[in-house]
Amino acid sequence: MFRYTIRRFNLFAITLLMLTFVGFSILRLDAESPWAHLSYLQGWSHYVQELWNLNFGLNKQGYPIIDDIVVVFPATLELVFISFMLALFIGIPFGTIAGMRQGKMIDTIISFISMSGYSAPLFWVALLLIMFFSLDLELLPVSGRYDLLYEIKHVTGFAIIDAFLSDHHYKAEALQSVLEHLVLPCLVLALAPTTQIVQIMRASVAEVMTQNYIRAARIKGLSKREIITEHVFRNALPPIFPTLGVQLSSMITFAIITESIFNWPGIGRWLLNALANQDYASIQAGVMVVASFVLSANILSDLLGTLSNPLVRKEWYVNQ
Amino acid sequence: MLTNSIYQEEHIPTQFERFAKSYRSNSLAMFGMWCLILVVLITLTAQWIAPHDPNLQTGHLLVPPSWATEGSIEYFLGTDDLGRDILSRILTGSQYTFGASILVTIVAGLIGSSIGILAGMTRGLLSSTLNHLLDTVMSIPSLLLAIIFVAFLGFGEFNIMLAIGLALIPRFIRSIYTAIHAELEKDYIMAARLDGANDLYLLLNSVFPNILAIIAAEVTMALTLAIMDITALGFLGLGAQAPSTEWGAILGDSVELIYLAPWTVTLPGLAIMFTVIVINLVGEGIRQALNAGVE
Repeated sequence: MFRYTIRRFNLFAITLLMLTFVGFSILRLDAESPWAHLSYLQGWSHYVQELWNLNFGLNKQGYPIIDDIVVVFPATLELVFISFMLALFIGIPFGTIAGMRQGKMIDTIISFISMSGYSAPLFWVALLLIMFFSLDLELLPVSGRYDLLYEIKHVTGFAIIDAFLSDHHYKAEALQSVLEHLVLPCLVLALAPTTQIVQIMRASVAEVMTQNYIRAARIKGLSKREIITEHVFRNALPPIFPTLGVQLSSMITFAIITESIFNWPGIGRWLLNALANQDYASIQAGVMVVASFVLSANILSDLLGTLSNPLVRKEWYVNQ
Repeated sequence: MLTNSIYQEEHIPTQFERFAKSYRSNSLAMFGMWCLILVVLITLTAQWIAPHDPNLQTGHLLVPPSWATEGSIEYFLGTDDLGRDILSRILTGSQYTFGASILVTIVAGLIGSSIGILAGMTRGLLSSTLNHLLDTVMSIPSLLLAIIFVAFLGFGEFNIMLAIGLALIPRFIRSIYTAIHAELEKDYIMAARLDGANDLYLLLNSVFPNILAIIAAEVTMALTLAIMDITALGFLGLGAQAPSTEWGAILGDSVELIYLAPWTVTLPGLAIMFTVIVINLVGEGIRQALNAGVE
């Protein structure tokens, strides 16, 4: 395991280093910035040093970019985290059901629903949901993170926790407002990963169900629940861990779209604004932050997957 | 099948005939294929079958679709806030959305498959490095890549297509590489090799027919992703720009009309969803038919 971990971290470091070249090149696009006048390699080594100290530079208005990132990045993380949990909680049970009853009626229904959910363009679904829940029924808010009536102090950057920590007399109302604003964006963002997890889980469970040890468990007379919890889950879950990291990267794509529709003050919308203003320093910072987040999540899920799945671990060392 | 012939079989069906027979028996896939042919025909002939000029401002603003009481047959799917005919816009938009994604997929598929084949047929340092490196490159979100491309090259559908293609290539390399590697380990390949087959022969006659199903699945996936990304970027205003009839751009144009004229938002979205579902039905059908003898 130690050598595997070292290998992974090496890969992570190399990829990050390659990314810094991209970030530095974006920074040099602005002809007026001092970076454009340095020689490439010298400027790059200087740039990496600055990144190491978490100094992302100044944006077009002359404020440090890191202050912006500290505000917008947690907003995205909150959205992504809640949607991901939602996707796991819906996706794993339904995927398991579909996989257990492969070819039956309920499998066809679940598969068809998950395929149409996957085929619908995300921004369109978001607009339809806004049309129905916000404009027709007037149940849920259209955009933003909470009503501006409430003043929620920035502590952790996660609106739920911040609202919970605030000590105003309207704490309960503020929390309710935050939750109401979360519903639609989270549902929209959870749609694609849920369908993906259903499909991955279905394939994984279907694979396990054909194995002889499941038949042996049946012959032993174990109940259905025992078979599922002790044999199916134990063998079907570990192979899907590494793919969860890949899911996260496509979720970032979807999060940028969701944020722009729901006016969610996250890093995606901020990045799009920076792009429209041609604020290259901000674009550079946004790209670096998002990419390193995705990379680390990927490496982590890979390590976790290998750690929890002895088969892969042994195979890796055998192939060495 | 009932015949008068007393001999068991006069004609052994070829691989393609077996595939076609199996595909035809799947009614959902056949439905998907006819719809896909329709979409392709529309894409090829859009300029001639569109009833109006897609960018002509007719002066009839926000006419609802023909099935609404105030609608007219003249503008079958209604008009938008500038009085442009929505049916014509959606028809011509198929070229910028569906046509463009097919182009991107073909180019990315060709490049990715050739690298994947090269890496798959060799082994050792190169292929193991490739394997791990691709995993990491694949983890960069496609929209982030598109943002980087826009920062360098500026807004526009062509630049977006480059970014999407670049995001698709690693997927192709990865899946083809894995498929070939898994196939090469099997015994029948060893048998063919002992018969004296060289690498090229092995690839074309032994490996390739057996990984067709994986290629079909990958192409379907890539096409879906390409459509999703092109429309999403058009919607965000990074890709196709405002007067363009790209489906995502149409949607992005009419977001502010969502309350006043919902059909301007729902109809282009339905077009996107229909196309993607049809592609997936056909892809799934092809995969099942190819696997029919194996599974």
